Amino acid sequence: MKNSITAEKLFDAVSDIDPADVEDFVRYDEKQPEVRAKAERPVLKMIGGIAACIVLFGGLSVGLKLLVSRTDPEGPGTTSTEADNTVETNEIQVTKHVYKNEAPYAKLKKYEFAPEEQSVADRLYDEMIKEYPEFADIPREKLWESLATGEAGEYAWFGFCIGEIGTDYCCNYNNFDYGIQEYNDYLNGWKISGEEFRQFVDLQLSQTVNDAILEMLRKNVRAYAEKTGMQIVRWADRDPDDILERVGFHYDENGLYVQSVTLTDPVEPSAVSGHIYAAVGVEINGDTITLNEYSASSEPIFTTDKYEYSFTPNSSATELFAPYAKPEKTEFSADQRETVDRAYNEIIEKYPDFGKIPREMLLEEIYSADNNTNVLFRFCLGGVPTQYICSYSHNIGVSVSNCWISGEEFKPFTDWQIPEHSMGEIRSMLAKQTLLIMKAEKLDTGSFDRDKLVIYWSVDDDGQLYANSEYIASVTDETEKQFGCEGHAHVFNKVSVTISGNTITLREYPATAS
Amino acid sequence: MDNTMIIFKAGPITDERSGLMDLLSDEEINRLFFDRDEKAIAETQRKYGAYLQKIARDMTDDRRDAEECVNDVYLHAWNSIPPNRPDSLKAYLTALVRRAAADVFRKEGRDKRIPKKLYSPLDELEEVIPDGAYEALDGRILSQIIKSFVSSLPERRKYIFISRYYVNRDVGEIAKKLQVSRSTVAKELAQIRSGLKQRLYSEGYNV
Repeated sequence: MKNSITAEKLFDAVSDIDPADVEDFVRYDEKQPEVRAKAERPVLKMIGGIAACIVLFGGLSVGLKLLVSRTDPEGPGTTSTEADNTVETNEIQVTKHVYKNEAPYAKLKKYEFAPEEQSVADRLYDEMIKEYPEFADIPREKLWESLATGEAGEYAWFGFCIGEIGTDYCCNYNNFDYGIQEYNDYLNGWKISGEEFRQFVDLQLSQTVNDAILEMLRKNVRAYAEKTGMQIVRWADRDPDDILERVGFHYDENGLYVQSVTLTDPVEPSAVSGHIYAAVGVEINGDTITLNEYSASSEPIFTTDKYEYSFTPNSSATELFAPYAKPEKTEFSADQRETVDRAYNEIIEKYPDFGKIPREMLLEEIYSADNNTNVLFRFCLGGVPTQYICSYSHNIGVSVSNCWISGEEFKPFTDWQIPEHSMGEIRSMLAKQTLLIMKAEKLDTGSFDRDKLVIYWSVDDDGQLYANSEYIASVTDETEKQFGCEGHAHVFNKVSVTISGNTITLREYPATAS
Repeated sequence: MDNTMIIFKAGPITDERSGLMDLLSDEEINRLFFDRDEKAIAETQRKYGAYLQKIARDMTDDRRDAEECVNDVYLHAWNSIPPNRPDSLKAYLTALVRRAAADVFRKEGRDKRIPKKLYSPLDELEEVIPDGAYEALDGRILSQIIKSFVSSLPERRKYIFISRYYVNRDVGEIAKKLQVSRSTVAKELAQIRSGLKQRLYSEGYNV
């Protein structure tokens, strides 16, 4: 735009169009469906943090189109129905609720930092305000704050919340040294997103409305799970009501809405999806708030590719940063521990890059045979061992130790931290595709045990990382195909895993049985 | 009449899952306006409040400005019906929102300008104005050219033009409404702009 005068001239010129043409517009507009849920690649947003994720399901994404029925907020007689598929479970119903937005207003339950953490948070908050002065307009009590600090750098997250619910309006700081130049360049410094929420910074959300939104989401997720036989994933140490992931306000061409996703375990015979989405549209009109309660679906109710960030403010900072999947630690005797520690020190002296891996990400093993004491350190990604292994061998007779290393193709991934939720997604995808091929090949799906899915990592020649799975499936009387092994088939599957910036992208593939 | 009071008293507060009261027809609402019955505002808000909020937000990119716009619309409607008796109340109110948005931008002491969100569609329109024609192009003449050009467009193109440049919807929303891809809408918008450019040339603005 050349200048504001030009803008005003054009604005005025367009404003003068014939009222009859505006009538034509309104008539045509009323003929169009009010809401149309896309059946394209569903886009999920993962919890914020160092690895705030967007999970994209490509590959075999089922091409379901949704049956959408919505009562137009403008009044009766304008209900629009779009039916271009017959998937009954995806019919979305909308129910309107009208509330008065009044006190008491919902207040964010902020995480309480330790004093030393608080001073870091305060310093970074001040830095953020210098970088983005407009963020100072937001009362700090409305910001969900999280923090991670360490020798490798600092990370801070300030996210604007409406009531107790997060929005896309977030400012985060990251100067962690991940050892990968491109990654560091991407992350270094402040990033902001979701500035379209600026118009809501003064908005107070009634506690009643806040609670109603969350309860509607939970209620619809449970109803959908019951209807379809999907099993909501139960997380250890979580309240049974804590079933909503990535609950967040979004504001786009669909208006203002809250959407959540819930992970499910695939269960035969309804192993159609590992997710249940729920949404509530929010219309604010003076002191009146209308909530449009959408029935849940296995596909996103609203899709948007606008944002990379979303977060769940009811997670504490500890929950946010702690849930990276880690290997289980082996318990050693005091003597064994001493040997393992000595081996570790020798190894990192010889292979300093291996020493950069946080030790909590290493699976440690020790065994002895023929006067040899062997110690293995396996780098684990998402809690699953890779082939990046440092070995130590000490021959008591020779009293000389040896160290060697293998699987260095996994070196580029040693800075990655995959949240447990993402690992849950990966397992769900692998299990889902495994079940689908088992069903197609008439293998014994009834005895399917997700825990018996063997998962391992691989890297192809292009450096692409895959989570692979193998499952031994029993044949049944109805199995027609002859498999190489008697009585069972080996089902293989993979999911590609890509991390770019703070986004994790997963792509699922069809499984094979042999 | 205390407009603010009317506006905030309006609208049923109900927590019922369904069974909202039936909405009045435009003719019935017009009758209330003509009878100078304040229920006219309440019924207008009940029927078109959400729609007006949405387009006001699209036009102003600010929640408070949008609310102010919508309040102004109710006031303008109250003051202008009668004598006007719009066949399509929704179209009439849409035009009032546009006018109210312009008023909000230029309110004295507010230092308001066209919001940046509107720059994107206006930028697109600016492309059609031949270089150097700005000075020669009087605002009123430009209005006339655009007005007659829009009237000449077929129904769908008119819809796309007004969606984009009058109520400031983004391309994605128009695409969603028309159930086509964004690129289809973008292409049609480019063709519409090209037509407008030719119209300007034919009117002699080819400096």
